[in-house]
Amino acid sequence: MKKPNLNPIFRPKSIAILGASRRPESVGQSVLRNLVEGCVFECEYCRPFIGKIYPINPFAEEILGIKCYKNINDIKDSIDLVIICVPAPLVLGVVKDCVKKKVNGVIIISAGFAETGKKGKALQDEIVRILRKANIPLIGPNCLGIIHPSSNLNASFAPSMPPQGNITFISQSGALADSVIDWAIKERYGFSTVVSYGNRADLDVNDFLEYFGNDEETKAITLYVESIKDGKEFMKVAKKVAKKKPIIALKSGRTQHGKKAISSHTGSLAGDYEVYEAAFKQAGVLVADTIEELFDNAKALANQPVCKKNAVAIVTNGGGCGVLTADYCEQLGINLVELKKSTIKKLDKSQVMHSAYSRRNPLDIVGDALPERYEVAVNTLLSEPYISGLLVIQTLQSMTKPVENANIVIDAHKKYPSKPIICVYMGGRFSRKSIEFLERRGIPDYNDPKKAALAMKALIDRGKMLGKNH
Amino acid sequence: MAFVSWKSLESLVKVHGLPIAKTRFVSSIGAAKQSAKAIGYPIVLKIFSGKGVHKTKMGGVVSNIKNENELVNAYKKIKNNLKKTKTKANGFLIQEQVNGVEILVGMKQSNFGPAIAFGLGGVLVEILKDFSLRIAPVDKKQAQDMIKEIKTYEILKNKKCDINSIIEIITKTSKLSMKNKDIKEIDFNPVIVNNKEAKIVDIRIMK
Repeated sequence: MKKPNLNPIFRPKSIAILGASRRPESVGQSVLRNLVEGCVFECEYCRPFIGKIYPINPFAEEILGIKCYKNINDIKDSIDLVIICVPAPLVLGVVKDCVKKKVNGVIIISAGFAETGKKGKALQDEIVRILRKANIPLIGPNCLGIIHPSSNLNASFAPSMPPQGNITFISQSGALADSVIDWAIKERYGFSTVVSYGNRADLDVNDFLEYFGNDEETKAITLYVESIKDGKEFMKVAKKVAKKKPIIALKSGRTQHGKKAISSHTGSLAGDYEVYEAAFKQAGVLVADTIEELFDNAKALANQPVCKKNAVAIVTNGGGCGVLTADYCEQLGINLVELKKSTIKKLDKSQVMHSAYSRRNPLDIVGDALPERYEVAVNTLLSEPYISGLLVIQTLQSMTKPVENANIVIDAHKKYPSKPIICVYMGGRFSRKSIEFLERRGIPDYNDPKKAALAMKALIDRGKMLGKNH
Repeated sequence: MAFVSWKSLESLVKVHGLPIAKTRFVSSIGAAKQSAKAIGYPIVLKIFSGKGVHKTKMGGVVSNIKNENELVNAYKKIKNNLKKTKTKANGFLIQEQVNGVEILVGMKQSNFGPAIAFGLGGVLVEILKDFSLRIAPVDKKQAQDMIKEIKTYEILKNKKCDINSIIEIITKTSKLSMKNKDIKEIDFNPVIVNNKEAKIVDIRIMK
């Protein structure tokens, strides 16, 4: 049987909510509000859905000012996506209605299925059987839903909507996705799509990898997984997709519960996490240690070219920060190149460098550096064929011009588009504007040298991986 | 999960071309003396148990036995240790003495397929937890990467261990695992490697 098209789920023109509710704190109302208003917690990124919305509730005439229907089959128009919020015992019935209506996609938010035990699993299996027979794709059950900002789509009961961006987040935990959305709003971190896949009764991580592998908007895919059902298929799909765009995963569940009394040495060494890590690496999926690392590295992977060779230089106006960054680079196996005499000559010739500048890598252009020094340092190093990637550190001194320095980096990146630049514009209040400038132009910035080093390492690792495949 | 007899362990492993140290299963001192003569001194005497028994810990292994006298003493000593520690053994193994560095090669089934493990072996492996993993099938290049990846790779280099023979054991273990999906875990621990060869000295297979 041909695999169903997922576009009606992520780019629906019409949505029905089965279980839309008049109760203010119910899932059924949150989902409706997220569609009608864009979010429950209002913010500048909220976008109301502009397609057709059909709340379905046999006991209401209207909810939030929108006409209610008693049954989905009372609606004349075709329905792309259905979001089901009714209690578990009622789901099977409404699913059958959806099949009759010939909808194009279903998201079941309701809990009470396989996660509760055998009975729930049997019910879930029956629902999947019916939908698969009708070739209707299903996300969930027991999930948060999906958010696709560019389609003005908040088909979830998440508190709000994150900014639009180029990173897709596929999460096995809905609660985690919720918190990430709130964080993303604070950090102005953009997502192309957020998917919470719940019990993955039908569509699983492999299906989403495949779909977003082909999605123009998505420049990097982030995953949060607890367990993967079909591991062999995962490795196959991930390998294929990873050739096209970076995938980075965070896996939970490191500790072994219930160590077997009798186990081979290999069995007790090769725990769940270690096996997943090996599988990820072999499939070309990068691994993150923490939630922060997952999104920090995705930011770089989505917006910067890979680092073609492990040959990096650091420019800094603060010696201490330069040393710290060099320490982290070394720890991670990032090769900090030795600056050639010809490069030093070019820097000297510019006549803007401080007499006490470091003349080595890290290139310390000294605390009183004005934009012209950054301009010479950044462009000279990027122009050198033996340097493949650049870390630019700015510490805020009283004469520092952060916005101009940001523009210098942005212009340099335009001139040398095949070499990644990662910034560490350290500080807070007075660096904020320059950081916003950088991020708007896709230059990743981190407030901590270690994060910058980890991001550069991710770009080097991916560069190595792609280099091998050619 | 059941454990199996030495003979069936050996034959399964040999079928896939994996090198095992010359070994014979015996259950009497007489048979032990005969087997030792046949294999040739020096030999190792150790208990064989169908269940997971930590042989070294309970004094169930005596190495470098150079003659029949030493064999008889070793046999008595191990039998005493068995009594003392209340351990049950199905019998004994007489094995050729192989000298070199102890490594581990193993397999654990996962939902990605068989995961092949390599690390420095013997008692070190559980203390250091220094090992590398790959999902099968594992080819020669990947096996080589696995070996170079471990933190204690320098030890193998310094002792001039024959890396190619380790690569062969890894790739053959991968093939064995892919052909026997009913096997849940495999331990070849230790495998002893020197500058000439690598030989499996202990086998544990869990189905």
